[in-house]
Amino acid sequence: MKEIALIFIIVLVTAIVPGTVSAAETPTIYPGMGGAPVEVLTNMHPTVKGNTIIMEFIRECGVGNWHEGQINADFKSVHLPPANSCGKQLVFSIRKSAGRDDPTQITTIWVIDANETWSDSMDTVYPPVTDYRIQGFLAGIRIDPVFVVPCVVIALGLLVIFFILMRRQ
Amino acid sequence: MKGFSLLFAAVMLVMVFVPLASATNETNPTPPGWVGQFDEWAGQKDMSAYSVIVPTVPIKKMDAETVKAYPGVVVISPDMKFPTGNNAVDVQKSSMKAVKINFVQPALQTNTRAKAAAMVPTVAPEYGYFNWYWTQDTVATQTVIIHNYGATTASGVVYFVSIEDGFGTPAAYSNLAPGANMTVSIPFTVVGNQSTVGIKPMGFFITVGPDNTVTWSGQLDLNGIEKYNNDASHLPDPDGGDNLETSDLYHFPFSEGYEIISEAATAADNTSSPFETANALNTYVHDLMTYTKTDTNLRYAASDLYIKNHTNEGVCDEYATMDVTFSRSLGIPSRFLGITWVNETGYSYGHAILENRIAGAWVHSDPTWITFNNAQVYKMGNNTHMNLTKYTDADDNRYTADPVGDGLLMYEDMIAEPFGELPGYN
Repeated sequence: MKEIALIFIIVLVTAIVPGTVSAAETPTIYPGMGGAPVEVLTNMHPTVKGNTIIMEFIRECGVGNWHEGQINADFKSVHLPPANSCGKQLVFSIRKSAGRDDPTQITTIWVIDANETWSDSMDTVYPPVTDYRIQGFLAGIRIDPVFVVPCVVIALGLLVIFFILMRRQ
Repeated sequence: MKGFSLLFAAVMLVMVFVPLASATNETNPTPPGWVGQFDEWAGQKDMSAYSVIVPTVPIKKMDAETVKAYPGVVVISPDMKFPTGNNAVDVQKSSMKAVKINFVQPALQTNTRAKAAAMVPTVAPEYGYFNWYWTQDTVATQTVIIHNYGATTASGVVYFVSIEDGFGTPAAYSNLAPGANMTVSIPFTVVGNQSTVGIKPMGFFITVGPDNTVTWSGQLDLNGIEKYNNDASHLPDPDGGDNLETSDLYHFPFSEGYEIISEAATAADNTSSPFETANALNTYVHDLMTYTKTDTNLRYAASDLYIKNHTNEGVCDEYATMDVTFSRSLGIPSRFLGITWVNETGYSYGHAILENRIAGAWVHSDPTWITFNNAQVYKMGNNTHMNLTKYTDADDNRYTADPVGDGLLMYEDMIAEPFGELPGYN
């Protein structure tokens, strides 16, 4: 009887504690809040993920509170300040008429000192690769053989085991 | 027993191969061969194909045959000229819909004077009140005060014209004594299916006598703007006008809102279906706005006029606000939606979008992400639990802890209607 009571108490505690935690006040998420700067950036400009230079910059420097600027009727600039002390900032231009997933949306990239003021007359670092498959390959985006090969081996192994089991029966 | 083992083996193989087939990523979505085909079949779907698609109907310009279907409407010859520069908007006496426009006296118009032979008295406008906000398939009454500058009594017709569309509506006048004024009302018919929405240059001309001698013609300094009709047989709002109304966020119906309406009409000029118009506005807002994250932008929802006065800067809720105000100003019912989700790393994300009411359905629009009619775009980004809330009836007085009338509203200034996890997004 004592054991049952103990189990009952454990069950009650297990049920109540997470419930209480969940019911605690959680901060309201307002529509304009977005998420982490890099997530907002890649949501708005998904082709960033396929650009080697920008992704390398993000890996090295992170992304602080980035912002856009208007260049002219056809182009905008996107300014990525570093999130750490890497001493660099990256600016890239985008073609307004390009669609969201258009791999040619990003037209030019500048990497300059963190304290420099950007101008579109500065030297660029962008090699314009327009084929998204090449961009994806350069960015290392492809099926990971480290994952695929073991899966195939396991599948074949299971097949052999079941075949042997069936033969025995 | 043998059959059961075979079945079990098959199930195990499927369990292993399904994750294998899904071992891809979003930029290289389709592995080769049957695995790719299977993954395509079993994977996430682009649901946009299942959303409402409204084909664009090409607009046929009014001609002698089609005009017969519209009593009171006449086709205007393309040879008719409408000179500019002979009138000016009277800012002091202009209201939302009827703008007062004053005209230069014909003595200053050499071309008109040349036509004013002694046989035909010159009849010209002094001023007029012009309805520039045209709702399709309704009548926009235009009022012109004409003056007889000649020496004999005049009778004739005043034609108000949509110059771009090439049709107009006539109104006769008679027995206008020399030196006298007369008010002529012209019930101009806005023929919806012979026209597009957007900017409509307005003009009119005056004829005198049985030969219809033109004594005055001109284009107005203010453009008309054609919008969709929201009555029950056109593009109704299912919420009784809640998604068309103005508020402290959307200012288009007031005199200061001409700028908003005019900008929307320019951006979506010559579009002929609400789907096409809303899509054009989505792209326009994305290009117009400059994404800038500041404490103010994050904390507040800014009104359309505030955004315009601050170089079109903002974050997603400012983008959505501009798209809503532009869409509503052209007569497309639109609702502002907050959307939250859980991303693939388990964190919450807050975003703002809108939906346009088109052909009896709510159509997704996200001007920040420049994507339209694609509610599955968030799910395709490996996010889950897309949860939507409509924010409506913005009133800066509702929440008293922040300043009133500054164009910056808290979300507590609005009424929130939770929609939950709508199936179209999840």
